[in-house]
Amino acid sequence: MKKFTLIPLFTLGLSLFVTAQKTDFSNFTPIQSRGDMPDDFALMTFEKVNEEKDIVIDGLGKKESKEFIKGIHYGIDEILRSGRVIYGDEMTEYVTRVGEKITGKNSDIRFYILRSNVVNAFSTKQGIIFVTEGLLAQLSNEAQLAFVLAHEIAHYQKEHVVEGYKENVEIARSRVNNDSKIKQLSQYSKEKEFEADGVGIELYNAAGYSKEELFDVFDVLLYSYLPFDLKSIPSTYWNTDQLVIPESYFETEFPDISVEKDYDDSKSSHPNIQSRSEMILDIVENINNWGEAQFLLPEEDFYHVRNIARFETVRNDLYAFRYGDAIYSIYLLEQEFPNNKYLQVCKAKAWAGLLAFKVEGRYTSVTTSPSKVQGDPHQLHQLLKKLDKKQLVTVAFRQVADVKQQFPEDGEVEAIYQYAVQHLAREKNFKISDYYEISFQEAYDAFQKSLDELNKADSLTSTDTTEVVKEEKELSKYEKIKRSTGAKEVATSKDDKFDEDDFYLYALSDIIKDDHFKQSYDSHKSDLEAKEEEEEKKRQLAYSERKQLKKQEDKEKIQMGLEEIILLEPRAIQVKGNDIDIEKSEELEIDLREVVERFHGNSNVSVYKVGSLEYKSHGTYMYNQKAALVNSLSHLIEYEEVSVFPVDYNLNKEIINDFGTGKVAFIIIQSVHQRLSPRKIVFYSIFPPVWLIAGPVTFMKSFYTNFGVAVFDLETYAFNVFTNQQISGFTSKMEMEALMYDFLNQINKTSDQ
Amino acid sequence: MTTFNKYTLTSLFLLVVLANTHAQNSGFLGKKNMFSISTGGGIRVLPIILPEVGEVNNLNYNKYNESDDSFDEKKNLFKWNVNFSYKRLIKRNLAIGIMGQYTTYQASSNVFGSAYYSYSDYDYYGNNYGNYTINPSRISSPKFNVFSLRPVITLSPKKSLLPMGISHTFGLGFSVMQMNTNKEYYFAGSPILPGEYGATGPLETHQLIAPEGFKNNYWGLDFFYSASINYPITRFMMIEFGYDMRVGYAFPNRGKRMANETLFDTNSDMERISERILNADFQDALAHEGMFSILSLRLGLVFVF
Repeated sequence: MKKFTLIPLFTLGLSLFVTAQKTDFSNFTPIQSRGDMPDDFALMTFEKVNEEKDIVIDGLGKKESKEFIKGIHYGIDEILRSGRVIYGDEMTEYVTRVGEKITGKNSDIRFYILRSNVVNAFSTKQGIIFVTEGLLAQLSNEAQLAFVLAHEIAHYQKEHVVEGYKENVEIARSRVNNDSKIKQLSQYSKEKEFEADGVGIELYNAAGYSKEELFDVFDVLLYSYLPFDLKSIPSTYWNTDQLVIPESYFETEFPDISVEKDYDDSKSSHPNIQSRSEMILDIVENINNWGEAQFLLPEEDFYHVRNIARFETVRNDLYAFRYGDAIYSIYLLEQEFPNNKYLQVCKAKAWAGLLAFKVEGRYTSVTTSPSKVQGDPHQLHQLLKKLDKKQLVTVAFRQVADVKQQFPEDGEVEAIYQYAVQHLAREKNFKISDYYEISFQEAYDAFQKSLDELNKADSLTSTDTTEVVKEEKELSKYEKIKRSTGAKEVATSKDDKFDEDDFYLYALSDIIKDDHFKQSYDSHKSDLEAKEEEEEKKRQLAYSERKQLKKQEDKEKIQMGLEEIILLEPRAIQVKGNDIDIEKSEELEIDLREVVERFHGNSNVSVYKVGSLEYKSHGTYMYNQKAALVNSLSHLIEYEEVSVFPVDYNLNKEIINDFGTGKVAFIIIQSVHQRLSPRKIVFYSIFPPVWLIAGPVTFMKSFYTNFGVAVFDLETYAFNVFTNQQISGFTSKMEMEALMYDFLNQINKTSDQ
Repeated sequence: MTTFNKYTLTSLFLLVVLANTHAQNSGFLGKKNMFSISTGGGIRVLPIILPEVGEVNNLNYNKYNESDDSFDEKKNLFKWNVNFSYKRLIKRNLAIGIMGQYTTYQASSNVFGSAYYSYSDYDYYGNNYGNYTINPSRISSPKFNVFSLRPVITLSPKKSLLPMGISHTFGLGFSVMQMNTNKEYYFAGSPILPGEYGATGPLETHQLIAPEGFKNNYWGLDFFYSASINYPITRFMMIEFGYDMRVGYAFPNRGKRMANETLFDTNSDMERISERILNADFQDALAHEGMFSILSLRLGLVFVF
């Protein structure tokens, strides 16, 4: 661990310095939290619950109040701990400033940004309002944001969360069928939404914003499934010297944007847009003193923050494997930020991701069916579907290579390039020899030239030309190409047409001559061949030998000879039957925290803990580290069978640099109480003597602890190992400590020990 | 060298071997040695399920009360045991060691059987003035001790981690059954008066001395299985609970059977006259019972070091 001990002091100074700085898009880096950590993050859930343990909510009993308080803290803390919430950054600051226009400066409401492309905002009983990056990216002006915030503030002020809970309890007790209960709840929820709209408008009006923007907010919500802007990507966007995608690959007709405002909302928590607009119209007309402002804060601040949010949506798309959406958003942003390095790097990541998933046969899971995409983005999604495997792999690699050519010295770009080459090497149908050494344009020009010559010759002497054509026709197309001194396409008759479907074969004309590519490709290919050879050898082994080898490999996986490891905040879950017992889970979580707190590894392995326990000593720095690690973990775990490229490559590098290791362990403890199955009960009832023997074992085995560990490596961005220990009996602190100790011992060993 | 000395040496040898074995894996917080002490009890299943062999299948026992010179008849459902073991971890899921077990139980009420006891009375001058026979109506039940010593192997499921959690222990060793001869046994009955047919005297209580045959050890081969669960409570201690099953095979003790042995020894002023021959099958069944336990629940502590 290199800098770890200096970090608290260093980061304090850094965070104050950074807060004052404005994001420079030409050097854009993923947004992280800044400044002092709010109590919402610093306090443990049980600490929050303990603070409110004596509160009895009006209309609820003591037990129900306790349950409610626990429920809201547990639920919201899950979001706060998810690594997807940002505080103290420019977006949060801006949203807070707009919020203060509505509530005044002394409000106890806290605003945080949620990393998500879903267009949403929501308030909590605790006085937190979450605003998603997706919402910020879609808004047109500050007034729209102000109305969304006013609506959420109204929910908070009117205590709708508590009221909703009370109603929920009442409805749950009522003796009606489930369908009716859902309708009742939906009806109640809609009433509260109308109320929040009404109160929200008053707050919004009091702040001095213009009434026109109110109605546009509903358009934002209505069309939130579309990207933050709509622009047609011209087919020429893809054209470079090497790559020309033929016009025929682009559909000119696509589904119109259509959405109903008065959709059936009978089972929905929110009223439909039509009803809300109509209701708002009534309120608006009854208010006379409307302001004029679209912006109360400097207009440029809004656009600046919106651009940050838009940049962030690209990152969110990459994390969510929505590569097509990311490429489209990048195109939109490129109009304002041409040649922006961050966007170009993200573009390379998106295309490299498409390439990898195509090669691994999981392409459909990361692409959207074009029939589901309305408007301009349809064309891009349709193109991604239309390209066959060879074409897609080539086009994707071309895009990555273009970014590489743009930023040849950049380490991250080089890593993406290598990742793409590695997958290219894995693609069996990809053969360098298939590709032409001239560009599409050169081939096309050559073809046109030969066609022109044919026409010219025809007009001079028909006999000579016929002989030439006859001679040409006896040769295969590729022989002709070879004969034509570099030109891959030549016309052999006047009626010939240029074969556009081969466009991709020209796309790598420069790359296949590039030494760096050739070396990288050969190296990955030989690695792959060596692996395949090894696999083949394994297949030829006898069953017992294979089993032995597998055992050895499993041992090698965990016995990594590590001396340092980052321990990401472990989680604990109490499972009873098939359900998670929230209350018990929290108790277990508290026990686990105590274990982790006093756990300092052993003499051989240093453990660097990254979690909420370290927030008190390392504050926001640790919060950001944890968020980055959680994001990486959830990214990696999504498609275990496909190697993915890190979205936050540079952040990961920083973590490796700070801690001196990239190995991260994540531990999840499940304390399970399994109920005896009715089948077993019947069996034992029929055969009581069996129960005598099997009964105690069955009972003992019905309580057990699952100790799951995943170790992943930030350097290789892959899982090293998943292990699972299952210990019968109740879960105890000692047991958790012993399991952790054992785990460290295991990873410290080398397989030859 | 006595048998026990042999076993003591074997155990010591095993301990030395085990203590020098380097376990490949971590154990409990790096500790690989386990010493456990536990106590348990199990239902005397054999007397219940076996067909009558002698009086082995009798769950009652007689307890003599010295204070009022009387006998109580009590139920004896359980056999109690104390176990100790030393094990050492060899792999994550494998430990080997040695286990000792002491089991004690009160045999059924009439193990000494319905033997009769005869004696003659003499006057001051040495004249025999009567021969008496007592058919004892109550005999205090003998207590038996069973000692076992066995090497054991403990396995836990693949995903588990010894010594925590559930584990299965198998052992094969020897048991030795002995009657507890340190205790005093009594019998009571009314003597049949000489001369008058069927006339009996008042109830008499006499101490009996265990016959030599009972002092002989019964040896047996002993297969042991135990499923237990260890629950750590401190860094060096765990609670252990589980159940055991023992299937003992007592070697027929023909050479040392108690035939023609006097069951009842008398005070010095009494003359032994008669005896009962205990049949060999009965004795073997007795030994089997001592070494057999189908389900014995156990609770104890495991010290890890």
